[in-house]
Amino acid sequence: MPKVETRKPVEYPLPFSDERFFEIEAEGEIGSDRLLMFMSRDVHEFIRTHSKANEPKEVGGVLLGQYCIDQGTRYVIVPTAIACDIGSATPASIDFPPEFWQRVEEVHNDEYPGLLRIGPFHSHPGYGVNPSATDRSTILAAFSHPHHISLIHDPHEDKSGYTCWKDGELAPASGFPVYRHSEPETLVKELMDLRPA
Amino acid sequence: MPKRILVRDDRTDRTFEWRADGNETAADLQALIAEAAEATRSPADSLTGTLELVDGLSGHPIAPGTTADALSGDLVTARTGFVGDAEAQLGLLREQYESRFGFHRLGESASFLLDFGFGGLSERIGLDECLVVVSGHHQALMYLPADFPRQRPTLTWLTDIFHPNLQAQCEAWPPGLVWEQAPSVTALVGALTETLVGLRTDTGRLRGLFGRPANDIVNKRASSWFRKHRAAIEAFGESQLFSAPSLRGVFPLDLPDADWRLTGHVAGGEMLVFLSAAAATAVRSRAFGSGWLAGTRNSRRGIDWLYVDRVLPADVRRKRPGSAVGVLHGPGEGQAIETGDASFLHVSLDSDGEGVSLRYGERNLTGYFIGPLGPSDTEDSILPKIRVETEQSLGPEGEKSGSGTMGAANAYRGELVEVDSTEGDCPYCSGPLTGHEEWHNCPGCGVPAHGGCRDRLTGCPNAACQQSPVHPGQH
Repeated sequence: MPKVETRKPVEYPLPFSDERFFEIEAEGEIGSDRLLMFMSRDVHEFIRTHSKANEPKEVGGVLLGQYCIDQGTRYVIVPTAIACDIGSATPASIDFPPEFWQRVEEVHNDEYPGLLRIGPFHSHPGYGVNPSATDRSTILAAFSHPHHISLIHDPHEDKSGYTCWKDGELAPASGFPVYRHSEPETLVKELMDLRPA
Repeated sequence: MPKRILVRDDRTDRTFEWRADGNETAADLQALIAEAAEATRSPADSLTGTLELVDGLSGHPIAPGTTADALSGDLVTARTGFVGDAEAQLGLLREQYESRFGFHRLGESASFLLDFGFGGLSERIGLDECLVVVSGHHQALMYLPADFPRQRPTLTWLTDIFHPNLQAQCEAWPPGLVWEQAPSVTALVGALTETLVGLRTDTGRLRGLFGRPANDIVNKRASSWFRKHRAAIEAFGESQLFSAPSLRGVFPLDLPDADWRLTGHVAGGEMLVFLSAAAATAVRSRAFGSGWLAGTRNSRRGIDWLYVDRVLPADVRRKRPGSAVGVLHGPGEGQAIETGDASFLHVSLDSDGEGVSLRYGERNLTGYFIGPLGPSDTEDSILPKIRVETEQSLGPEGEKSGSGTMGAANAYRGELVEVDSTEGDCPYCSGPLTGHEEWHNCPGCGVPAHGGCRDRLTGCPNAACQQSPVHPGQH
């Protein structure tokens, strides 16, 4: 698993203040006083359809995005993701093999330098959006920095939730805003430029 | 001996005769009425709500177990369960007024005791002077007659008050309120609250010009006093009714441990509207008619946001309170009321009765947040449920005591200590001035009051004192 450095959030205005973000909807109830997560509608739709298509097996991957701050409000914004289509998956587990991380390394460096690996996503067919005991140990081991989140989608309920770190503990699963952007490629470039490689 | 009882179904405007042997119950009659109504109901008819039976003369509700023999009168009225509905409406209002309004139904009757924690004026008559003071506790009795809601409730003001339109132990009615235009208990009690704090008064100021009688004036001296102090009273009334938590400028999504539900969708750069859960419930209840939205407006870099804390039923054609951030338009009113302010929120109910429409200035909003809903309770299956048993929950032999309450024989009943209350009562709360609670004489006028009461009132209860919030010099 790649080594992750602790990151500081970079200044970037909240999507609520930028007119290029539109049709911001909520997936579930949005928790406050925690690391907010804004996810691109395309990414969310991909996770939903990919999870549904592969039922009852789990699917997963890695979310790429930026760790930002605006007037004290910390948040991550996720414009893209890399799905894991290798390795083994069962109705109750998914493995991310070394080959997958190799591929993530390549795609991340080649196409999205400057973005961060915000955390994993995976599906829980029929057992909710809270992380399992295995998920928790995985998250603790590899995604334990303040900018990390873990997203779970349950295709049975068609519901998604994410956990994040709060005061050193994993916060309960929460809903999040899902956005559309009038210039998605420009947004990715802006987010990459915030943290020059 | 068989009984014959006339039954008037107010909902369908039909009259029946109930022929019973005597042991049949009111529940049996209820079932018969429901069947009769159902059998003749046209598809367009809508008989919503629960059915209740009341004595046709007194309006006193009849319990379902009451037998035909036990019925005191020979006329029964069947109606939609308006008493229960009224109770529910008062509950909604209590949420909006928080700790400053309470009520309880007197037994199973159709009467409600209303408790107001808002400041209203009363007189204290001493040996050598008569003071007008602000009193922080008032009560009224509301009775729902047998043909409610066709007929309006009766209100009796109970507590001492110095007001042009209210008098203790006398029938009361909010000036200008026409029951038929807004037959809602919420609107009525809202208007009564406005009356109490001085925002809705009839002092007869304009009536004399047109030679109309000043029917609503029950206290001419108070009427004259209110005319003289009009600006101060209005400012005071506003401060009583429209103060709302400011969130201290904290962006709602940064509030600790709160969840927000986004209804619809929002766009970057547009006004974000956050409705408190209580305000959203009130809006959707359709019981409020029209009203002001109390809350705060704020902005942070590039984001304007508005938090609506409460909905206060009111006649919104009257002067807009400075601290209102928006207006709720009653059903059927659309958004016709203009407030002359572009930075004002308009909330209206869709004609289908299901949805809510929001407009800010000239712009229609496509979404809004509701909350705080409290922290998510979603940590379920993965974490073991831990139960902590305290020593107190175990009985003397280590057995669980079940309810967790201690036996009556061992219960600590507190201590009863007589206190010296020779210093008199606090004009604001009517509680005794004792050494138990901090109190002092006003440095301006010498009238004593509790420190906490002065804080709540933001000044002296004595209306003649320059430190009183209703003193003209304050405004």
